[in-house]
Amino acid sequence: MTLTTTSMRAALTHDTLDDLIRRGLASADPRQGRAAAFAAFAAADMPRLERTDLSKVHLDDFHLVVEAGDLPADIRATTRSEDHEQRAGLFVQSNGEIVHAQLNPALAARGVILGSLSQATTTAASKAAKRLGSVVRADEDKLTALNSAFWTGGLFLYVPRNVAIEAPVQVVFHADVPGGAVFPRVLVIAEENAAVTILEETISPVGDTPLLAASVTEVIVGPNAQVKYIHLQNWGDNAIAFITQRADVGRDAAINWTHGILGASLMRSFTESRLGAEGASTEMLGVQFGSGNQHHDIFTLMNHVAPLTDGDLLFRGVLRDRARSVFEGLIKIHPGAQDANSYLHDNTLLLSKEARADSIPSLEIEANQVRASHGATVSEIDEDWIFYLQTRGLSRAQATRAIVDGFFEPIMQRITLESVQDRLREAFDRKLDA
Amino acid sequence: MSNDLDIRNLHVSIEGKPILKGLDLTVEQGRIHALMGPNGSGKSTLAYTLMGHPAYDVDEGEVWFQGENILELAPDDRSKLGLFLAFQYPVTIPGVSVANFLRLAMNARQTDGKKIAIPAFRKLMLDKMKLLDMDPSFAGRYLNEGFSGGEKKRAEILQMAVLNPTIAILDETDSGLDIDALKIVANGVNTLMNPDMGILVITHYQRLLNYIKPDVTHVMLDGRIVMTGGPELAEELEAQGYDWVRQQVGLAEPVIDVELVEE
Ligand SMILES: Nc1ncnc2c1ncn2[C@@H]1O[C@H](COP(=O)(O)OP(=O)(O)OP(=O)(O)O)[C@@H](O)[C@H]1O
Ligand SMILES: [Mg+2]
Repeated sequence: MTLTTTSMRAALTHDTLDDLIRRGLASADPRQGRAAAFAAFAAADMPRLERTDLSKVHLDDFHLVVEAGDLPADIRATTRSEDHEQRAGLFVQSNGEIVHAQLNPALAARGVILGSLSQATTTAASKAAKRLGSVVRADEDKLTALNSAFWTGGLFLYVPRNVAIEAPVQVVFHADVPGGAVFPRVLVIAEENAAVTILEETISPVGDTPLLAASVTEVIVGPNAQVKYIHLQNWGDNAIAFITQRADVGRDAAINWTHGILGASLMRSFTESRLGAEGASTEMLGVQFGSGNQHHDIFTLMNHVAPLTDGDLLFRGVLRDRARSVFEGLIKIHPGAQDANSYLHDNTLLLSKEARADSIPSLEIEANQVRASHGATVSEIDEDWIFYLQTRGLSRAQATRAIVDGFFEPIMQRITLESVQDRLREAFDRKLDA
Repeated sequence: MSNDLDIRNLHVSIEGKPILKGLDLTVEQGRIHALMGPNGSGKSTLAYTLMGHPAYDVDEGEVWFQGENILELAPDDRSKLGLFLAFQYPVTIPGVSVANFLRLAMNARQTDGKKIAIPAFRKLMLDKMKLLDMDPSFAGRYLNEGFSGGEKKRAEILQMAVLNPTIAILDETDSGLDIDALKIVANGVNTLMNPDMGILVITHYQRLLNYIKPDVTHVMLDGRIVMTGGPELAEELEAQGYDWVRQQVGLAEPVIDVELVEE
């Protein structure tokens, strides 16, 4: 197939990739190995998951979309205001194009970088180019390879030594072309003793034709640095989303992942904290709400490579209608990781008889002096709770809402950002009203 | 339209097993009725049925309140009509604080769709907590989670105080209360009691009735009211036990209703 430079839509082929490179949209630096990534993509089969059937996902059905689409009004409004109290910076990408990247000038003056990952990686010697692909390798699976071959735009966030950013950096990935494929890509580097909070939201309008989003996020947390990565997965309910996120956590450093898993018709996520240096720690928080026919497959890995590393995971999910969730939470403790502590708890509440949840926590422990525990529960909403609340005048719907809010409460309390709590509560309300 | 609660020939079964077998009882506004009866006689079944618990099947009978046969109504509509039950076994609702829950309950019964202002609500709640000698820190605790038996019962009466029902059913509110707490809770109930309110007190023990003085006492056996009398009936019962009642009403024969005319 030949491709003209004005074409917006192109199959996910090698020709398309060549065209992207020719147009300067995908930098062809050999370190990025676009061609190698494509080869890995072409060679790999779709991942085979035990509880999520990907056989009906045909990647050939989707075409690459580069040009920016129409942003929703609230996001457009956000791009027009520069409220540095509210946020340290704002990055918005629509389809394959960055439409807004802005950083508090005071932070820019201190060496913070927020901007295009493509531009940051055009020279091989750049910080970004050196680290890109070092945390999530292109050839890990078919979807990471696909992203690594085709991503354009992309966010690069760099926080230098000793710089602590108070307000969150807001990141939006938007997609709006039915049948289109988008490839969000993020690289965050927090140097020694730096601190930053990223609030990423992925959005697309609701529609009938599926849309594919395959994203890769790499986070490098330097010694004693603190990164909080909040990810609100709010893709429209026609989206098929593959998410790969990994943090390499340095000595005495900490990564907090906070997930709001709300959107997409089919989602597979893989989130890992690699605790590769002494004293590294991770907290993983997640709330998930499935409705309609949504299918969320969540895989988490707290990977204890070094001694004295800590992990703490708390996920809670609510399912209504015919929604389905799979939660696989793995705690892995390597032979060298003595004195690791790791805890994992996952609870799911079912609001309907047709909803189904599988929760599979597991431990792989190869060190002998560790503390680790995991627990998972799946329970149906208790009719006696509803009745009790009803006898106080709450309708069944109000009672259900109170129970759901109460169920999520322990996690909401640990999500300290009020704006995020509000966003999540709004989403729960929307889901309960639907 | 009457604010009395009027139960007529109520037959109720659970999973096909008959529990209430033709029960008649009227709780009038301004009066306190005591309901006593051996374990398993159906007292809680009556209470749950009046509130509309889905597990209890009404096979026959009517319950009239505020001009409606309320058996057709959902539990929340019964509550909004002014019916209240203090549970024998209150339910724990994880993650929902007492204050939040009370506010939801109050907002649910605002007829104009407006929400009660937070300061007004706080004041009301704290006043009622004071009435029941509850520490204000209770407001922030999750409803009944980790509450002691006595604390749960107190929290039930707190809800009654905030919701101010027309007819309140107290199902063994005295069980789990120590003697000091019993006095406080009873005193709270007496303070809430007014000419527009009727109360049905379900209990096994005279000690509660020493503080909450009933106008009428009923004895329930095997799903029916078999005896009705004044406050002295409760004392008699405590002294003589239920075998005495069985003898009075004829043990081997089908139970007879003893109609007592009230003044
Ligand atoms: N959910 C239920 N399922 C099956 N049987 C039930 C259920 N609830 C009540 N019962 C039965 O109904 C009968 C009456 O029970 P109920 O709780 O009404 O008695 P009670 O008079 O309140 O007793 P107590 O004084 O012990 O509180 C008992 O035999 C009990 O086992
Ligand atoms: Mg009982």
